[in-house]
Amino acid sequence: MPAEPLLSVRGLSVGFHGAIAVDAVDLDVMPGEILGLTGDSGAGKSTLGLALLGLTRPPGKLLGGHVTLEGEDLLALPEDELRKRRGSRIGLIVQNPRGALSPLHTVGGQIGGVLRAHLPLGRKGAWQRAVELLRGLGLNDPARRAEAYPHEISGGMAQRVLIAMALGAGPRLLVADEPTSGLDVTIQAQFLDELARAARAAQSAVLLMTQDLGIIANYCDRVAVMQQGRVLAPMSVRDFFAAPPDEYSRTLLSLRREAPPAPPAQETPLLVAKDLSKRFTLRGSGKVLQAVDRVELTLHRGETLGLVGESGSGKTTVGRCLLRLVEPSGGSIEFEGQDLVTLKPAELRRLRKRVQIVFQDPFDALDPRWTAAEILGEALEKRDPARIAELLALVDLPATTAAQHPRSLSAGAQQRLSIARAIAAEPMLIVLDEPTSALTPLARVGIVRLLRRLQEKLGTAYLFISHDLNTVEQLSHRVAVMYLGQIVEQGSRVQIFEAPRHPYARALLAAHLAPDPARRRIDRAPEAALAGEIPSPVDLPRGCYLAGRCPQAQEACRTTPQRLIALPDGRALRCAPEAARAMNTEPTLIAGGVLT
Amino acid sequence: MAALLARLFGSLGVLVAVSLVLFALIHANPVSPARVVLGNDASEEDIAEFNAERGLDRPVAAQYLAWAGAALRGEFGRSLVDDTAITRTIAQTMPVTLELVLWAFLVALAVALPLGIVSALYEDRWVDHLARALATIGVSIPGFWLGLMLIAWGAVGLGWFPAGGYVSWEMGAWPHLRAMVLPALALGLYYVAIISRMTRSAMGDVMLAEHVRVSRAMGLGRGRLMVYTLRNALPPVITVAAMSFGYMFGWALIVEQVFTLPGMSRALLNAIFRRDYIMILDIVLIITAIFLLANLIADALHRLVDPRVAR
Repeated sequence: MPAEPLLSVRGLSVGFHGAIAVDAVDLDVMPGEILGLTGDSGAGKSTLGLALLGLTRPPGKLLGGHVTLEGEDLLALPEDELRKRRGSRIGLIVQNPRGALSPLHTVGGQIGGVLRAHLPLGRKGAWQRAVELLRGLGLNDPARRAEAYPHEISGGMAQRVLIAMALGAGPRLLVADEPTSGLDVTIQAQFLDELARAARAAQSAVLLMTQDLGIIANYCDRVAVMQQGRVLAPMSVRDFFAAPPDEYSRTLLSLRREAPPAPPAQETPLLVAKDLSKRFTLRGSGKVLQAVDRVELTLHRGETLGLVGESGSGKTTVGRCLLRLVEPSGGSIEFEGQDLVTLKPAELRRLRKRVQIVFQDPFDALDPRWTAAEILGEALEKRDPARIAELLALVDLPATTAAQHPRSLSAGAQQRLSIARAIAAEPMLIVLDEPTSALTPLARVGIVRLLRRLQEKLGTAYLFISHDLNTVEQLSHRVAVMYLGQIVEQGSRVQIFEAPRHPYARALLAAHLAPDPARRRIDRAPEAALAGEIPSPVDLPRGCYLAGRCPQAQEACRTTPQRLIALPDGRALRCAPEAARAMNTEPTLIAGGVLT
Repeated sequence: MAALLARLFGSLGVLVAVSLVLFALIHANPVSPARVVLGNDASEEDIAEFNAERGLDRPVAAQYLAWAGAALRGEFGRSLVDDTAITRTIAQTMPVTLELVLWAFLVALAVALPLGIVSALYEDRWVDHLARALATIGVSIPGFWLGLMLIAWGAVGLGWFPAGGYVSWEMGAWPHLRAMVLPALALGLYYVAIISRMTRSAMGDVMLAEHVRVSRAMGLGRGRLMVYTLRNALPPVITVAAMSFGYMFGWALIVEQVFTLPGMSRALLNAIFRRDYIMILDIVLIITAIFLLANLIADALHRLVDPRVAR
């Protein structure tokens, strides 16, 4: 690595009305490297990122320091000169790409606007350059895409537009602030691949700010940790993951690749869902949306089944159907010997004590006017202070929480309270619907530990619904992968995470960014990538739903709907060719029904 | 385009509905215009004859259909009281009101837009404080009182403008316009307040939006940033401006009374006092139609500015 840093930050401080958000930061970024910057929420990462461009969010103020880019102190420049450096020498990418574009202007015009601010180009020339940039980022038909407005393009495409804007004028350094938070895993990986590739091609360095250590492990060369406005000395990613330098990173990495405690062996299943379906009729068009399509699930006592899939795959609807919060359109749900689907309302109410649910956003799920004690008391037969104290202790909340209202608790504590409410009635099964997605990574670790401990102690079964593969890996004994309302593969945690078989599951797991620098995604060719975008759930393909995107699709896949096929190793697979390969038999034999 | 046509048909539907409701309301009032015209001494036979002559003894539905059929052919009928052609009355009074409203609208826009933009750009500076004070005063002052104050100041005090009355175009453009200045100000100031407030808050919202911060981080110049900001702030301003334009016709009636302008207010007030049903109906419907038209134009502008609405 060359000795001369590209960007050198010395003593940079930003304050908000006296509170110091960025505290005398020193940081060097080397030419062409991807430097990760991580740290808990509120550590000051975003504020630092903006300050590097001489910007602050009002009412913040730059209190002093130097930001030297290629020998030139940016903060010492007059405002107009600094403005010229922004975008041409140092670029910024933020989260929520669609929000970063003006909704009333075409994307081509916006890329062109940035180009014209820095390069000697006319309106027409800038437009042509914009189209070229979009083509370079792999967009089909870039000339037409350039004329689109932000609401007409997908989130993934909006990000590429943002990359084009940020890199268009060839800045030497790109500051990327949580560029992928809130995205589906496959789109996230695709975006980061493109970002890394485009930055390499332009020989730009990247300062990648993220809380996700998986991203750091897979894409960064070095990593620095930010804590309460201060930045610790950067270290190589390999050293960092071998020996995390600070408490925060150590806590996050403590659950790495650790299997959950094994469930007790059970003969009779607790819950068996068969052919579970849910159709929604869309208002207006009257089209039918098949949200859940003949889903089969089995859960044993004390076991966790992870249900994964991208947004719109129907995993949340499955969870709600199990409690009949959403009425299933068909199928059966056998729970402790009773069919939930045909239960009368009074019996259903009794049964709901045995099946509980925890929602994604705890604040929305808790009555803001009630204290914690009142919330828990309602879930109990009678309001027993001793039992309430016991429940709070079970979820590691201090006894004083009882008198507090939800808004005075942190998001993590709120989620603990909803979990306490769920276990109050001693349920056999808890549906956990993305319970960790609204939390910071640190709070997430606490919830995962809590859920594991409760399961060991109480023997509760979990249906854990999440798009966060890391958390699923830490909690689940078995995993089911959903795509467009169907389960495409189901197997043990090791089977799915180590050797997925269904092409969709393979693509999904390939995009999984584990916090482990041993197999970095940036160093390997993206494998098992899927072409195109997810089909509309109101207009599904006739055969296999994946056929249009699958690299191994055969003619029969396009016309024959796929069944879920049970394999001898305990997996279930909705892909006839792959099932045949798994059993070393000819595909035709499978199609002929030999398996059944 | 198809959506705009649908809106047009919707507006026509509203117009029909308004005319139905008006008709019903008017006929719910027990006082007949015959009493007004013929006086309290008129005999029952006289009144019956009056009603029969003008078709008022027919069922309400038949009256409505007869009126609507004529209105569709562009004939607004004759006054029940003095038998003048309503079309003529409207042709005489409507241009005055329309002109007053247009001037007031122009004044409102010309003052409110720059004021709102400047006060958003210099938030919490003296310009902003001034604009906000002006807006608060503007919405709090009743139009008729403001009219009287303007007369006291501009006509009685300075003597620059006439205290009231209408000067037609034939008397010369300058005297004509001079007579319109104070009424237009009296009518427009309230809407200066409304529109400048909306402009300021819309601009303020957009300036805090993520995409403006990103544009700044991309190094865009002030001019380009203003283009993005202004266009994004425009839709709510269009909506408020169109609504203001419609409401102005209501307030114009009062301002016309204060400045003794021969606009529709006099015709409408006369008609109300004299129970001249058909006249009331026609004038209110015309104001409704203008209101709907203003909304339609705002809708079209909206589509022009915001591609998300155009879909």
